[in-house]
Amino acid sequence: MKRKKINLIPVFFLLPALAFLIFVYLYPLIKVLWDSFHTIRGGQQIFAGLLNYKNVFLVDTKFRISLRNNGILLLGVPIIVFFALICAFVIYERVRGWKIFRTVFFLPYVLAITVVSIVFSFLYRGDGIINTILVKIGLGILQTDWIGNTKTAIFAVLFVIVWHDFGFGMILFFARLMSIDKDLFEAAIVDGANWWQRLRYVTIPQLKSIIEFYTIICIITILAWSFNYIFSMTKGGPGNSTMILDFYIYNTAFMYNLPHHASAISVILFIMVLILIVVQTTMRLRAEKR
Amino acid sequence: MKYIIKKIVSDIPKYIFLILVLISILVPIYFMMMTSVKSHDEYLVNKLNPPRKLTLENYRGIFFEQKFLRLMYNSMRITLASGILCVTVSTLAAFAFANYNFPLKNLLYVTILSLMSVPPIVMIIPLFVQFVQFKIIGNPIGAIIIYVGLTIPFSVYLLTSFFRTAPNELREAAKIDGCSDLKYFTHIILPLSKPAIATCFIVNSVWVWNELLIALIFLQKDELRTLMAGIMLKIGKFQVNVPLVTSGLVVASLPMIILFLVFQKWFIRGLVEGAIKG
Repeated sequence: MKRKKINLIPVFFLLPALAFLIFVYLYPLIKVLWDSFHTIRGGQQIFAGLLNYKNVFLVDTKFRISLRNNGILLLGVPIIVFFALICAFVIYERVRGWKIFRTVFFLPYVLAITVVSIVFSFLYRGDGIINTILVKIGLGILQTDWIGNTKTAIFAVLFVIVWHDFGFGMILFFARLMSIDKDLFEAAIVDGANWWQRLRYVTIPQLKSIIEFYTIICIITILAWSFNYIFSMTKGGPGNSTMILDFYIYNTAFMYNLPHHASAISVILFIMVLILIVVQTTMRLRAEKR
Repeated sequence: MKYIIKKIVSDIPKYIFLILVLISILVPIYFMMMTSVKSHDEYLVNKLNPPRKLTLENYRGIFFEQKFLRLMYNSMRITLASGILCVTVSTLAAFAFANYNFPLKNLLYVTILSLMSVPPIVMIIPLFVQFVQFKIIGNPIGAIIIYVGLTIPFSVYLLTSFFRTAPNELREAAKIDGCSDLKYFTHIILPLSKPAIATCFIVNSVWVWNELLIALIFLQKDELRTLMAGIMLKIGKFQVNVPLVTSGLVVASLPMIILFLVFQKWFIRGLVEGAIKG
C-alpha cells in the first residue's frame, strides 16, 4: 500500500500561529497543572499530590469568599441579557433616533474598563455625585460610600459591569433581529399582538440560540475576566467583600508569593471555564449544522 | 394622522425606557468630560453642573507631563506591534484553514476557537516564571508575544470565515492560469480581504490598548508602562486632584473612541461575527 503524502504547504502557513499558541496557551496550561501538584520544601520543588487542592478547599477561607462573590457577580448575567434584549427589540422597531441610541448604548463597551472603573470610583465616593444627587432629591438617608461599604461594594461593582457590557449584547441581538424575516413581525402586528406578545412569542423564540450563546459568553466574562474592575476599583476590599477568583489568583501568586497554591486555584478556575467552553462549542457545532 | 398620533402615544413608554438608559450611560461620560475642563477649586464646590469657568489647564498639565507622553508612546508601540504581528500570523493560518484539507483540521480549528474563552490569568504564572528565566521581563517583546497569542484565536476565526466566502471558481481559475498557492494568496486573496483584515486589526487594537492585567505584570519597568497601567498606578498620587485625573482619562480614551466612531460598521461587524459563531 502506498503511503499517502501529507501536503506540507498548509503546515507552513499554520506554523507561526501555532508556535504562538503553544507558547502562550498550551505550555502554560500544562505547566500550571504540573505546578498545582507540587510544592516547595526546603528550597526544593517536590511532588505534593493533592495537598494544594486540599488546602484550597479545606483551609483557604478567602477562596470560599471569592467563590461566593463570583456567584453574586453572576447575578449580573440575567440583568445584562434582559437589558440587552429589551434595548435591541425596542431599537429594532425603529423608534425615532434609533441610530443614536444604538451608538450611545454601545459606547461603554469601547471605553477601557480601567477608565470606566476610575470614573465610577469618583461617582461612588462619599462626596461623589451619586450621593450629591441622593441628598438633593431628599434621599439623603441612603447616602454611603458605595465601594467603601462592605454591604454595597460588590453590587456597586456589579452595576459597573452591567453598564459596561450590556451594549455588546444589544448589538449582537440587534444583528440577529435584522436577519429575521420582517413578515413575521408584520404578521404578528396584523394579528393584533401587542408589544409584549411580540417580544414573548416572536422575538425570544427566534433569538433563542443567540440568547443562549450570549448567556454563556456573559458567564465566562464575569467568572474569569473581572480582574480589571476589581483591580481598578476596590482591590478586593473592603474586608475581602469584593475578592473574586481571578483577582485572588493574582494576589496569591504575586503578593503572597504562593505560586503553587495559586496554580491549584488557576486549575479550578480553568476547569469551570472549560465546562462552559464545552457547552459553547457544542452549541456552535449544532448551529453550524443547521 | 390618527395613526401617527396613536403610534407616538404607544411609543411613549419605549421612549421613557430608552431615555432612562441613555441618561445612565451618559452621566459617567458627561462627568468625565465636564470635570476635565474644571479647575480643581471649582470641582470642590461644583461637582454636578457644567463648569462656570472653562479651563484647559488640566490638559496642559497632562501634555506637558513628560511621563504621560511616554505612557502614550509605549501603548501605541505595543498596540501597533502586536496588532501587525497578530494579523500577519493569523492571516496565514486562516488561509490554511480556508483553502486546504489536512488531517485533524476541524479538531484543530475548534480547539483554537475555544481558546478565545480561556482567561489569561490561568496562564500568567508559568509565563511569568518563563520570562524571568529568559530575562525578557524588562522587555516589551514578552508582552507583545502574549498579546499576539491571546488575539490569535479571534483573528483566525474572523479571517477564516471571511476567506471561506471567496468563491471556489476563483481558485480554480487561478490554478488553471498557473498561479502558485503563494501567489494566489498574496495577489488574489489578500487584496480581496482588506476590509476583514482591517476589522481584525481594529478590534485587536482596542483590546490591547485597553488591557490591564498583562501590562501590569509583564511591563513593570517605569519606562515600559502602558497608558492603562500607568494611569492605574499613578492615580494614588493625584487622587486629590480629580479634574487632572479625568483629563488624563479623556486623553487615554480618545484614540479608541475616534477609531470606533470612524470604523463603527467594521468594528461592530467584527465583534458580532466573532461572537455569533466564535
